[in-house]
Amino acid sequence: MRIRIRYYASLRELIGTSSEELDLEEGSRVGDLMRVIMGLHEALKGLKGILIAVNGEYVEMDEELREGDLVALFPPLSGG
Amino acid sequence: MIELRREDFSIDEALGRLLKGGMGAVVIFLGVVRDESKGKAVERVEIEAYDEMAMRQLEAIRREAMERFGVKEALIIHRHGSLKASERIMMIAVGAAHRVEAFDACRYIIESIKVRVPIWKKEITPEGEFWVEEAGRQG
Repeated sequence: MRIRIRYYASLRELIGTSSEELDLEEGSRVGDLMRVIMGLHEALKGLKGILIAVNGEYVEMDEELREGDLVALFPPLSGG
Repeated sequence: MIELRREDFSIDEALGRLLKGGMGAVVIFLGVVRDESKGKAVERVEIEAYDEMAMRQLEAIRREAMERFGVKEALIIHRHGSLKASERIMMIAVGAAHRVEAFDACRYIIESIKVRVPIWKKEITPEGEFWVEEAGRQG
């Protein structure tokens, strides 16, 4: 299944792209996706506090992904 | 009552939208660009938002504050883009029957924004550019 990924703020600058698409096996969870992403992007390894949202909602690592999901990865926040 | 915008805003115009019958207290919080950070002079900040999610989170926080503290109305405006030192970044206004719930709701809104709304600030200084990464739901 195809998953869309967006990177924001310092993560986008670290890996040099704001979005990409990845193919995952059916039934994959957010944790599986994160392992693939960490394998692709050396710059993200060891970073603490990465926040993950699927379709605009915060999720945990065991959240199951579905075809066409939009996954956003971003660093700790600094709004307000 | 929720806005994410590039341009500056008018406090009076926002108050005009907020005020309604039964209000006896309005608390306003303004966030502005500080001209220094960790000993460095800050010329400007670049503010980036994950727009769709930020709007949803802001609306959820507004509703929670209104329900939890029983205030009559709450308004949140947050800017993004390039802002110079002393420019306004955000405004929260809460109208309630009495001051205690207005202060409490306003405090709840700003503290929730800090940890839940996907917005980031990069400080531009003579010594370089630095992302501010303070807080996060899972951090």
